[in-house]
Amino acid sequence: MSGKGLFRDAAVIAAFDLGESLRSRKVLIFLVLYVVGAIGATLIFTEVLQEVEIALAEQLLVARTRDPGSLTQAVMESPELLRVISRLIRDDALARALVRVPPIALLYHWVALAFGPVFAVLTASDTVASEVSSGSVRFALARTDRAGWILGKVFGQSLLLAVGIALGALASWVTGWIQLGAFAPGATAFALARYAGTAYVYVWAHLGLALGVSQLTRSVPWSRALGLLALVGVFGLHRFLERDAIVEAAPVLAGSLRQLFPVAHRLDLWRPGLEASAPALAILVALGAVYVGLGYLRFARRDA
Amino acid sequence: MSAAVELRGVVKRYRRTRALDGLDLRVPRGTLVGLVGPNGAGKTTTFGIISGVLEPDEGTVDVLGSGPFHPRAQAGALGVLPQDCALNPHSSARQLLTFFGRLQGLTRAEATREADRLLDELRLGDRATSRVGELSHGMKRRLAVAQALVGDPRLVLLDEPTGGLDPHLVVEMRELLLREKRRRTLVVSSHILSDLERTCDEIAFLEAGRCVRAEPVETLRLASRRIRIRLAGPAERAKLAAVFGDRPFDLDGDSLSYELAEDEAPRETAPAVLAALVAAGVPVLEVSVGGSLEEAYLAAREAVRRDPGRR
Repeated sequence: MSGKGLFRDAAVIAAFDLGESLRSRKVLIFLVLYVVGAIGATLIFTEVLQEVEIALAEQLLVARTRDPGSLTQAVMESPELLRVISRLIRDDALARALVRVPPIALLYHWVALAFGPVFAVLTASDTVASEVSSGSVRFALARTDRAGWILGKVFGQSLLLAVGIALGALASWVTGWIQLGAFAPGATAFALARYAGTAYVYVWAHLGLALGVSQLTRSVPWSRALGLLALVGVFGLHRFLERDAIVEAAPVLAGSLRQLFPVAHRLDLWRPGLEASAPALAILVALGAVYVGLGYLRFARRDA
Repeated sequence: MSAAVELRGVVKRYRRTRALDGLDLRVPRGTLVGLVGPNGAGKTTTFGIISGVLEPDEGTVDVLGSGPFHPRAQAGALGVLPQDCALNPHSSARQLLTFFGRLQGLTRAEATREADRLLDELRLGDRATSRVGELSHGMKRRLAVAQALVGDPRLVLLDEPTGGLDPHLVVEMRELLLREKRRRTLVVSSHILSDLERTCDEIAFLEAGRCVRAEPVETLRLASRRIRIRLAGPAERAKLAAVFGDRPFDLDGDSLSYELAEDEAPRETAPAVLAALVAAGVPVLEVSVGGSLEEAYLAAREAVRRDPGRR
């Protein structure tokens, strides 16, 4: 016998859950969609980059290029690219600080922040409900307690999310390497790894939301609906709390409440230095854990 | 004998329905106890309460002498076959049993060995690498029973282990239970009373969330105080009358039965009746004492129906 402990059980459940997820077609389809999405977005972005380069070539009176990225340095310093980055992150000052970051990494980060939460909610919001509904949870709960089981599910889904985020980053890097004429493989890989990390933490907060919701009901359709509702809810409430009337009426309260939603911390994740993003990362990790914990308060007290 | 399971006054409500209504149940250690009752009597809820997945609203639960079951404090002590619960469909049979073995506290090597042993014991060795979702209903059922035995638990709860199985698999399951009852405490629910009669040491009749009768199988069978005789051929009534005198007997084809008088002990009277029948030239094939479990169950239900206060 190897003994029993909360984290040992959680690790055993996470490993099995990850394997079970990867063996199921549903998650594979989502992973493929995620990779295809990253590739598609990169392809579109290289087209945009080429348009910027063509415009720039005309301004500089040099020959037009057929390989996007050939005029990298000039493009990096161009107001056109600055406008593109500003549109992605909606912050002009920050955009100016990001012009030296490989554009593929910036695009990947934007795609991951925009679609990662949806990916997480679609794959994870029925994680607990489906096992309670089918009764398969009862096989496990004779052997480990609910805390160990939920922790294992959280670890498993977090690992699955890491696989999705990493595959998306890899797909972006490969697509950029093939498509861009002047591709800096090392710098792009470094920037992608850094932004994959921050994207992971941002999506993790939404994964926590999905796993929290999944513990509230034994109905799979309900848990999926609640997951989507919660996702729309956190964005909608944040947007509501940003309204001028609300901010003017209760600036401190509105500002404090906004911190409870992951989207409030999204802008900080773009900052080039990791130390500048650290507070946002810590809050997002905590928010994900709080969402899971709130769901667990219900799951721990109900019949399985 | 100390109790492996002791429930006292357990109440479990599902909204307005009282699934368990003051259930008292005692399962002695090292025995095989059968739970019998109609649908909705509370058998599955009882298993859920014992295994800790359901919280009782009232009453006390003691499992293996440590209070309510807790899977971490009593690691590896309990194996459960829940009713109508689906096994994870994407894993192979071996992966699934190894996973449950790991959760039971075994190392990876131990869990894999245990998985292979149980797959062989349940005649699933050749399907070890098949996905659970691809197995037939009977195979899934056997796999579900195998997972309940992973890690050599001291207490095993099997809710309808033979449900939906082919007759030859029912026989195999019965043989498995007879082997397992020497190794651990088992609690089994089934609608096939003849199986429970052959395998169980004790039977508890559940009715509307209460235990209306719990006795050793032998006691339940002898409660009917009837001797049953299977005849090898037709018997003349005159010969039977000569054997039984003025005591009443029933003859229905090749089945002859005789109700014991108050002062007659079944174990002494049966051999005497057999000897008298043989001496009178009545062709006898089989003699048994007492009624069937089915009769005892129906009698218990009838008693409850006549006197609802017995619940």
